[in-house]
Amino acid sequence: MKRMEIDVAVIGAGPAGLAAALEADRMGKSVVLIERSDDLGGILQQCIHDGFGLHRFKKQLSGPQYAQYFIDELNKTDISVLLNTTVLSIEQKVIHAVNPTDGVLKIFPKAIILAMGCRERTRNQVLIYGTRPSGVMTAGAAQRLINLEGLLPGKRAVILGSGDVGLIMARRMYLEGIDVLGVYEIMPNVGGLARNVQQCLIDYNIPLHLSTTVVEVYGKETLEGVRVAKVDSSLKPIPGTEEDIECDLLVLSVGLIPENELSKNAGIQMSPVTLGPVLDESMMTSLPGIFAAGNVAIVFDLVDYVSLSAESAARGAVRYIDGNSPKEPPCDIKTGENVSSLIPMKYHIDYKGEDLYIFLRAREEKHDVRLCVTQGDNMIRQKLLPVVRPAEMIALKLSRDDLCQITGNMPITVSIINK
Amino acid sequence: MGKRMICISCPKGCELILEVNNEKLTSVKGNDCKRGEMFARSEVENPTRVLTSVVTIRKAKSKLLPVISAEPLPKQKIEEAIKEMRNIVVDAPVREGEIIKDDLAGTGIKLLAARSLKKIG
Repeated sequence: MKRMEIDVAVIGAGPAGLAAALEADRMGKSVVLIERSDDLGGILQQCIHDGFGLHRFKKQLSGPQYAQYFIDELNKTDISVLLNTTVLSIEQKVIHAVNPTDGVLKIFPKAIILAMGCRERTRNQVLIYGTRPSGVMTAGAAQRLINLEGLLPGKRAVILGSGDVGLIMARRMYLEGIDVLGVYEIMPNVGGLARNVQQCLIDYNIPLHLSTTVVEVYGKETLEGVRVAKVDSSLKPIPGTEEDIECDLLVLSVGLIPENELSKNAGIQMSPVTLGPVLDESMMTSLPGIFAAGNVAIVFDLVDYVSLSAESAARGAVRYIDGNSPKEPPCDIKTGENVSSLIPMKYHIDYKGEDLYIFLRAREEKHDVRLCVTQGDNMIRQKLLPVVRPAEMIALKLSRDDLCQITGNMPITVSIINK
Repeated sequence: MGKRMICISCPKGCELILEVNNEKLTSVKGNDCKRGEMFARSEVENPTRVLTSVVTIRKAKSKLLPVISAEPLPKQKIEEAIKEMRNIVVDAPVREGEIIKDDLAGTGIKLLAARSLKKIG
């Protein structure tokens, strides 16, 4: 059995893993990057559309271009890359992995960064009644078939859910000659970014039906059609509004879930809110020396923020290895009014890093609001925002000066209130 | 009556209200930054979009190479450009940023490789 001793082991070579590995390397640590597929870049390689990197590179790159920047940087370093390598478990901070060339590997890192990303909700998780024909797939699967395999999964498509991947796929399928009959969204508002409604649907006259969902699929071996119906305010289908649509492809874009089987089996404490690990300001989990970065921590909508979170985790891992982790008990960071989820959930007043980002999502759309970070009666940071929407993650930067105002271990609350 | 649309310049997605006279933009409201105004003008006078797709690649580990137009393309040229791309075949190795086609659909706009792929076998 091959054994490997290393400073930092990063699991997953998507945008989070690449950024984390590079940051740890820049800080002088030895790094191994472990990836289960045969390619670097993760999901970015099939996200061929543009719109990535506006914050980091000040231009709109396509997914592969964004990944290429990090891959080119990686090729200049001594980072060990293990492709086709699946991590089976993490026990007592020892990584057990397997690949076709080495067989079973045992990796002994000083710190681990989890960067496994997220996966898509499937039909089973949205409970659609009917038969089990082929032609029902997630938006990411359709994207993979079209952009990586060069296969068209159908001729007439219906899209359920208006998440960004679904909207992007509506345009992509249209341009590849698939008849895109419509996007159906059970909620009264769109799941994805407004600009994707404009450039993916309105541009190509693809209809969007809000408060409408697929209630049944039919077809023996392959999909023959779906039944859609309008829903009431409690999301129940309204009898009499059903309509049958003939199609051979149903694409699901019904949300993403952080992929945390490894984290859970390792005994890491999970958050029921983000579905990712409970994290402190350095992105450290409940197990000392194990960190999380990117979509495994919370589902981001901008890759730029994924990279930021990963670099922050890498710096945390380096501080941990160098014995500079905080020793004081942490205070909790809690979701207040109109905040549905956030990271980090804990803050140590003896945190030795630089600026700290709080990433959060609003529970409902509100205009002209004040975003506040408070500890008791003390206002630590506030910011006026013209609009907040659940689909758009908010990144709030706390400077060293802001952080200096945090005292003791009383909980900190993040809330969005009226201006 | 203004025409409403969403600015696609960044993920913020400002809702714009465009006043148009004789196919010229006379005013725009709702934009948070200058790019919104530029986008509104372009939407009225010559709407353009960045086009991304894939082309066939040989001698690489992938079958397809992602590509991107070097600049936004006039909207009415998009479907013609997509059709042209279906006939393109390139051989690895390819570097990200390399020119794959000089002139997309007669616009003079270049098509670029969006990733690097090594030659294999």
